[in-house]
Order: sequence, then structure tokens, then C-alpha cells
Amino acid sequence: MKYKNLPSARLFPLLFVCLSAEAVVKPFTLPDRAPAQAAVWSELLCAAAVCTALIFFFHRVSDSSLRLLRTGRLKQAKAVLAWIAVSASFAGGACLVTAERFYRYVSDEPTLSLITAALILLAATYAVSRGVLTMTRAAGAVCVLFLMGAVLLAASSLSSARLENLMFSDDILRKTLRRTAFGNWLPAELLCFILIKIPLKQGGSKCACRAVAASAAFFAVSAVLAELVLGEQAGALMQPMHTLARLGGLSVFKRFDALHVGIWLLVLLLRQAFLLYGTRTAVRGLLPDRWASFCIPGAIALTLAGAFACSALPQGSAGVLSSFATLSAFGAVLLFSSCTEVGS
Amino acid sequence: MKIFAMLLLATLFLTGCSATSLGDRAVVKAVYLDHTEEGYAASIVVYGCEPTTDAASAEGKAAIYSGVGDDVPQALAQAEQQQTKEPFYAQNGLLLLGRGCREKDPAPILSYFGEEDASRKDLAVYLTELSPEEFQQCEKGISDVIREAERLAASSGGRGAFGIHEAKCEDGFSGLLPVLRFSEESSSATVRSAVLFERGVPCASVEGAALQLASLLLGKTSELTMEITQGEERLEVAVKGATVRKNMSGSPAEGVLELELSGTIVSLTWGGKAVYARESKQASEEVNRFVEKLFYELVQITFERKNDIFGLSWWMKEQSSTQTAQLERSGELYDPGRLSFSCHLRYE
Amino acid sequence: MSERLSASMLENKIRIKELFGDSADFYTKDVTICGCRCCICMFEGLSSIERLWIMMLDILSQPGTQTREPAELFDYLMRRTAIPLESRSCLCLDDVRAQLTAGTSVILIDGVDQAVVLSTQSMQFRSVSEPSGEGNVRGSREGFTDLLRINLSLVRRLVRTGELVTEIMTVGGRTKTELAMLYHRSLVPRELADSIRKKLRTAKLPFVFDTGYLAPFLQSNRFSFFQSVGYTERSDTAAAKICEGKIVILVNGSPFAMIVPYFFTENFASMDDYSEKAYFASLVRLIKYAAFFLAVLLQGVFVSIATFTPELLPEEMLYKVAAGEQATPLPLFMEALLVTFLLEIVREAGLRLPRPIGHSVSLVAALIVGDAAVNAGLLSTPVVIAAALSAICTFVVPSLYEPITVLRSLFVLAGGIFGPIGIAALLFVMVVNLCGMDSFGVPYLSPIEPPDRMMWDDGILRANWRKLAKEDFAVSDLPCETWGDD
Repeated sequence: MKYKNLPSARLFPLLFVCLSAEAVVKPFTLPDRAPAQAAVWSELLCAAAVCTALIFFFHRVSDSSLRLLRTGRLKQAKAVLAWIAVSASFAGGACLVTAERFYRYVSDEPTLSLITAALILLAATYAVSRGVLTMTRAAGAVCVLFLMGAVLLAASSLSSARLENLMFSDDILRKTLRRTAFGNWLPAELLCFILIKIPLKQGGSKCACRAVAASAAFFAVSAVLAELVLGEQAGALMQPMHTLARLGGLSVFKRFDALHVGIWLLVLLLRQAFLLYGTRTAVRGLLPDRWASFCIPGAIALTLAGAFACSALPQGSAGVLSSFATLSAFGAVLLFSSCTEVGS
Repeated sequence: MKIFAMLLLATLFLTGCSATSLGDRAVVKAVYLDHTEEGYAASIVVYGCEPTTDAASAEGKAAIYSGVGDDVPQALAQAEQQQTKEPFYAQNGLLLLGRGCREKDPAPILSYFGEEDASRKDLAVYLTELSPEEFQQCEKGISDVIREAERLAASSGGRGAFGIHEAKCEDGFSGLLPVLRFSEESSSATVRSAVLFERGVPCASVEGAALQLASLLLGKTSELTMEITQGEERLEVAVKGATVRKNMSGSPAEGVLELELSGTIVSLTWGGKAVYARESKQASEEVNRFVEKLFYELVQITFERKNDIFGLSWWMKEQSSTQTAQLERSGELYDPGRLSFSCHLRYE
Repeated sequence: MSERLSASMLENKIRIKELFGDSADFYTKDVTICGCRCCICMFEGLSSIERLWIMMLDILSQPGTQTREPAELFDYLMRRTAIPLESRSCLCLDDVRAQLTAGTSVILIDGVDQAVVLSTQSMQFRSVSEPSGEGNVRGSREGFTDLLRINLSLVRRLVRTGELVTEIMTVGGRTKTELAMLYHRSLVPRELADSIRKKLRTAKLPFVFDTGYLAPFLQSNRFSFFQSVGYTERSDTAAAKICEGKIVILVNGSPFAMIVPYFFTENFASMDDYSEKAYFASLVRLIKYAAFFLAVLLQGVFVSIATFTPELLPEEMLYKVAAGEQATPLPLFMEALLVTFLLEIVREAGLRLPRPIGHSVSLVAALIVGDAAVNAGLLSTPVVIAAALSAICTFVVPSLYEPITVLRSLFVLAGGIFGPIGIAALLFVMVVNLCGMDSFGVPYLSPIEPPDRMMWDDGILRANWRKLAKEDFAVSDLPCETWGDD
């Protein structure tokens, strides 16, 4: 048997699917009413900034300091892990809220919110208990379904697309910056990525940057497709991709929306699992060894707390807060790494 | 794993089976709405079926329930209350607007159904010539009418079928609403004309070849079937594969938007006889001239009146949105002199 | 440590009789061979006195045979005659037990502390016949029988290289059942063979009547719906798996060989695939994959759609389902569960009943479940049709019958109680479960996940033999992923 360590490139489907989830299921905030032009520029800007930051981060941080961080033996490591846990759990809570609301939004006969949230968390917890290697493999299958669904959505919507629906705006710069500022420009999934026990120096930054770039391209294409079909309504809708799915049809086949919703639910479950994994890994480093069995219940409790916090916040602020929390967590990791390297 | 299973079992007991069963749902297949003096009149066409274990004999039977109200939701609620089951709109593919909507702005109705998640986004909208009372009499043949209307909406010919997602209702509705003709006696449904609305006000009726050209310009069809009367003779044309290419030459301030319609004439009869060789060239030129004339007539009632339903100004904005905005402010944008249309249909 | 035999024939005879109690089928006879007192021991029914007579006694009863000392007689029999004796003599009681229960005859010689063993097996067993399942259009029709030695010979006939290794060991405290481990020496990594050997040796079972008893000891402890070991009744399939670098385990008394490691994609492959044209074999495999997902998901999705998202049903079907639902007393998902339950009862009844009556079961089931129950309004036609279609799809992949049946019921419950979110969550759990399984270090979903070129050559599809033959495939070529994960 050829035994080998997993290359970080295998994490690409997992990262890509998790980062692209919000392109198809938007968080239930006030629509940004930005034209597709602004969306494309915004994604380009975000991707460039995040990739540059990631390259700088992976250049400065060593694998040994990350290993030290994960163990949580040092007080400084515990402080950083605590902040990562808060950041990841907040993002996980936001994901849970979005998934539950989306399911209620698309259902004619929705299940109770509590039951939906419980099912999502149960499925995610099971995935976390099987480990990130299993999640990586599952992500391969989900990624294939996701891309096939996207191709089907595009093919079924193109007949309704009109170039004349695309909008032009004079103050595109302001709209671009506004969309960027109030969006989720630094996803917490990238924090979870650095917590995985893989040698990140060997292709970790390449994998993360590729995933960020691919996800940004996906966001841009979906925004353009939505505007081609729906016109200026696309920016005003809560869930433009779901509207596209309801509109689309191929020959005699109509009503693909259920198929798309099924695939998107799988994507949301995977994303929830990955964020829960990040929270659990951070909590594991915080707890002493004899309490190791409590790391999953602890992570679930934190995620639920994050969900409550997210629901209580004003609309539109969850994404921004999450991004700032993630940014500061990355900063804390950088600081920790430089301190440990100076110390050694 | 045991904990997962126990938690799952606990949720099982919490849920119960709360979903409404199929038998308790009233399947709404079409909605009719009209302006009245007091507000709105609504009718819903509900399909029900008798309980039977013989699946082969099970079929839906239509019934019409009506109500009135000050606004659209109230009128619909009253109509729903005329029957006992839970209304189920997810199979609803038709929105029929009554006679009153040919005189008053249908924007409030279209906005209601255009809201996110209120209805299926491919809900087809048609105008009818029926009042609320006349519509209620159509219960006997309404199933066939709905079937016919759904077929029309789904066919590639389109007859200018209008989807609710296309409704632009800022400052009132602007666009072309097709008119669905049917009556309580006749169970067939046809679309031969459409009403052009300009900011909530019906301003013209578009029929025949003009309606088909409008559908083509709206991107809803690639086929044309026209009858051109020349003196005592009639030219009947069928075109397939029709496309309109647009090209902006020069800046919006000085340039011209060139539109070129091309396609293949598959059938050409002149005075009831098929056309060949030398006559076909002459006939084709005649057709092209006719279509060009039709275009400018359409432009006269839409673009010139700043009712750009065909999105022609988009091509000018694509060149320079700043210049186009300036022209719009100065009132020079919607000059028909900025458009140049040529028709190049070929007979093969 | 088993008791060693003594030099006294009488003592050995008494101890052997004590070992087997007063068994009526245990036969002993005192004879004199070449002037030495001997005792023949055998089990009637397992061994044949006529063969013993033909093989040995006839020769030794000839006039002129020399009288010998006991030790001389032993040496003469073991090394200097043409009598077909077993190469190893019995040194202890345990050896005697093993040989006698294998159907051989044991000859005790007074004055010698070892016993001579003759292959006089003459037991009744089922002959080599067509296997009961795994039918095929082309290829061999031979299936394994219940005797281990015959099964070994069937495989040996097909894999005629010197690389085929057969290891025999005993399992089962009360039955001392023989089992054999067969593998290709140069294709199987040593650590895999060692690992399996160790697990088999340490499997503490009171009795073993089938290879399935050993499966839990070879698989991971974690619960999974699917098995990472496979079974086959066909000798050509076993030989093919050996040539892929897998290990085949045979147990005496069972015609089912176990294959380790075993992957998910193998459930959808058959020997016929390799005899037919590649394009048709690929089509059949795709149909099987589709049948698997239909079997698992159809009923659950149908129930979920009909209850929670009926807008997906086409108009005409909607009325039929609604009419049927109104006319029956149970909710749709309870009906679906009831029909599944009834189908399982019918299947089990048909399996256990004697064949002459078994045919009646199908008739009764069709009449009662298919017709009378629907006419009486207890069940609705769409539900029965969905259940029947699901059952037919299950039969396309018989090796996955157990997980499909359980998963199908779970999906019905999930879809009927929770709706689409239940279906999605359970599907996610099933995918994660599949992805999390390893079969001896190799991911269970190989070569689909992690993706490998074999996925298109001999996984989901099958490539032409010209392409397959260019590169030898062995299981050891599949990547084993290690992960420093917590």
C-alpha cells in the first residue's frame, strides 16, 4: 500500500464549497442592491486582498508555531485559541441561522425551527466526529454535485437571460466599496483551515489562495447571471439564486428548484460541519486532557451562543463583525508565531 | 453514536406530524384579479379530487371561489375563505387580470405577486376581457382554458407571454401585457393582441405582426408568422431563426444604434400560392420593407415616448453611461433618429 | 498444550474414547499388522473401512509380510511403503482429534508414541454446482461447496502460478473449524497479510459456520451501514480478487468466500462486466449505481415531496396521490413503512419456507398486498408502486441488500417526519459514513474518493481490455491516506 500524508491540495474542494456557499444561499440581511458590475469588482478586490494577506501570513507563520498553538500548552496559545473559538463559533452560529432561515424560506410546510437547527447540528456533529479527512472526502462528492448544479442552473436560466438587463452605474466605485465593506470579506473558514494538522508550508497558501480565487469567481459569475435574468431585481432580492432556480427550465423539465435546494442544503451542512470542526479544535486546545470528551459539546454550545448573538444583532452587521473577528484572530496568530519564534 | 440516536429520537417525539396532508390542500391553478369601484375582486380556480383508491380514475375538478376587498391580500383572503381547505399556491402558473386592468394601472397587483417568494417566478400574466362576474361563470370550461394558457406560456412561440419576474412597476407598470381571449362558451384560449402600458396607463393595442415583432425584440421568440395585405393580395410569411443584432456605432451623443434583423423565411405564399425564384426575391424585399415599417411604428409608441420596453437605450449606456445619462436629462436620448433598423430575411 | 500420546496402545485408545465420549459413530478395531498389535480409529460416515482395507490392510495381510518390531513397523509404514499416508503423524491427542474429525483414519501402534494417519475420507458433501446467487451470462458456472479442500482446489485450478499462497488455521473453540487464507504472494503487501492473519488468529469465537462470523473481527469497530468485507460464492470471482492483490478467506462448511479489502464500487461490478463489451458493461454499472440511489432514496423522497413539497409533483400525479391519500386511513409515510415491512416479511417467508410452498408466498403477497389491500383502501397505489420499484432496484445490487433496506426505512422516516431537511441531513450522514470508512487503510470509496484514474477505467465505468491490460492493477496501487488528525 502506498501510505502517504495528505497533500493540502486535497482540501481545495472543502474550502471552495464552504467559501462559495454564500453565493447561492445569502445570509438574510438587507439586500445590498448593488449591480453585478459592483459585485464583480468587489469580488476581485476582496480576492486580491485576501490572497495577498494569506501569502504574507503563510510566509511569516511557521508550522511549528501552529503546532504549538493547537496544543494550547502556553497561556498565549490559550488566549489566541479562545479568540479563534469565538470567531469560528460566531461564524458557525451565523451559518446555522442562515441555513434555518433559508429552509423556512423555501418550504411551503417548514419544519419547526428548533428541529431544523437540531438536525443540522446533529449531522454536522457526526461529520466532525469522523474527522476532517472524512469531511475532505465528503467535500469531493458535494463539490461535484455543487458544480453540476451550478452548470444546470446556468443552462436552465440562459434562455431567460437578456443583455439589456445588465445595469450600469455612474458611481460604481462607491457601490463597490459599500458592497465590500458590508460583506463577509474574510470568512472564518480560513481560520479553520489553519487549524488543520497539515504542513501548511507545503502548498497550504496555494490551496487557500486558489480556493479564495475560485470562490470569488463563482460569486462574480452568479451575480452576473442573476442580473442577466432578473435585471435590477437581482440586487433587491434576498435569495436571487433561489429565484433563478425557480425560474429555470430545460425543455420539458421544469421545477429544478428542489434539486438545487437539496444540493445547497448539503453545502450548508458541510459548511456548518467545517466551522464546527474549527470551533472544536480551538476548544480542544483550551481544555485539559481529562476534559477532552467535552470539546464537541462545548463547541456546539458556543455555536448556539453564536447563533443567538447573530440573531440579536442588527441586520447586515453579522458578516462585517465576523470578518473583523477573523481578521483579529489572524493577527493574534501572527503575533503568537512571532513571539514563539523570538522566544525559541 | 448512541447519544446522536437518542437526541434524534427525542426530536422525533417533539415534532409530531404537523404537515398539512395533500387531501387537506386546495390546489390553486389560476388566480384572477380585477379592479372594482370598491377596491379589488379576486377569484381563485381550485382543483380538488374525490377520495378514491383507484388511481386511474382520480382527476382534478375545477371550482371557482371569489371575494372582494380593499386591497389585493384582502380580496384573495376572502376568496380563500369561501372553501374550507388550506390554499396551496405552488402549482399556480397563471395570473389573469380582468377587464378593469385595461383601464387602471395593474402595478399594485403585479407588485404583490412580484414580491419575493410570493409566487412562482414563472407565473404567466395575461389580461382578459372578462369582468369578475363573467369570470365566475366560466367554471365549466376553465380547466381547458388553463391548460391552453399554460401551453401557450410554455411554447417557444410565446405570443409575448409575460412572466411576473419581468414586471417593472416603479411609477406604474410599463410593458406589454398579452390579452388572453376565452369565454364561458368556448374552452379554447388564444392570444392575438397585447396592451401596451406606459407608466400605468394603457396607451396602445399591439396585434398581429406587430405583436410578434415586439416579442422578437423582447427576446421571447425566434419565429414570426405574418400576413401582409397588399391591395387585394395577401402575403403570408413564416420565419424561423430570427435574431436581432445590435451595434452602437460611435458615442451615444453622436452615434446611431444599428439593429439588424436576420432570419430564414421558411414559407412564403402570395395570394394563396407558393412563391418561387424571381418572385421570391421580390416578395422577400416586400417582407423586409414591411417589417422595417412595423419597427418604426413600434418605436413611435414606445421608445419615442420614453417607454423603452425593448431596452434599446441599454446599448447606448453600454458605450458610455455618463453620456447617456446626460442625454436623458436633456431629453435627447429618446430621439428615433438615433435608431437605424434594417431587415434581412432570406427565403430559401 | 495437548496431551502427548503414550507408547501404550490401550492407554491411547482409552484416552481417545474419553475424548469423544460414548459417541456411537466412533469406530475402533484392534488388528495385527506385521505381528504388531494395532488399533484402527475412525468416524463412521467420515471415513470408509473399505478404502482403508484397499489402501493398507490388503497389502499388509499378504502372506510373506515380515513380522516387525513396533518402531520398525512405524518407520516402514511412514517411509518405505507406497501406502498413501499423511506426511505428518499424530503426536498428541489434539492431532488425533483434528485428523479423525477431518475424516482420516488413525492407526495406533502398541509400543509407539505416535499414530499413523491414512486419508480414507469418504464423507457425503454437496458437489460443485452453479452458485445460488451471482448469476452470469458468460464465464464459469462453478460455485464453491461446503468442503474447504475442494474449494481450495477450485481456486488452485484457476490461479496456476506458484505465487498463490494458502495458509490454513483453526478457529472456533467448540468446532475447531478450519479456515484458509489465500493470497498472491507478490501482490499483497506483507503488512496487510500479517494484519489479517493476526486478526483471524485472535478472533475468539465459540463456533464458526460461515465466513460472516469473522467479519466483525476484520472490520473497524466504528458503526457503519456498509461492510468493508465482501463475499462471493464463485471460484472465478475469488481468483480474480486474488489477482487484484486481495486476500480471500474460506471457511470449512461454508460456500461463501470472504474478500478483504473490499470497496464500495465492487458491489456494482460483476464477472460478466469483463466478458462483455466495455460500453455495455459501463452502461450496466451506471444503471446499478442509479438503482442503488433509487432504492435508497425513492420512497423517502416520494413521501417527503408528497407531504412537504407537493409543488414538485406533476399535476396529474398530484391528484392521484391526493385522492389515494384521502381514501386511506394512514399518513403517507406510515403507509410507506407498512409496505416496506410487508415486503420484508414476504421476502423472509419466501426464503425460509420449503420450496414447494415458497411459490405460494409470492402469489399470496401479490394478491393481498398488491391488490386486495389497495382495493380495500388500506394502502394507496402510488405508495405500493414506489415500494415495488424500490424493491426491484434493491435486487439489482444484492450485495447491498441489508444497508439498502435499513437506509430506505430511515429515509422514509426522515422524509415523512422532517421533510426535505431530514432527507438532506440523512443523505449527508450517509455520505460522511461512506467517506469515513476504510478497508484496511484504503478508503472504502476508492477509487472514487480520493479520485484515482481507476475510477473511469474500472470503477464507475469500465475501460476496454486493451487499456486495462496495459497497466496492471493491484489494490496496493490505491493510495492509503494517513492523517495526523485528532
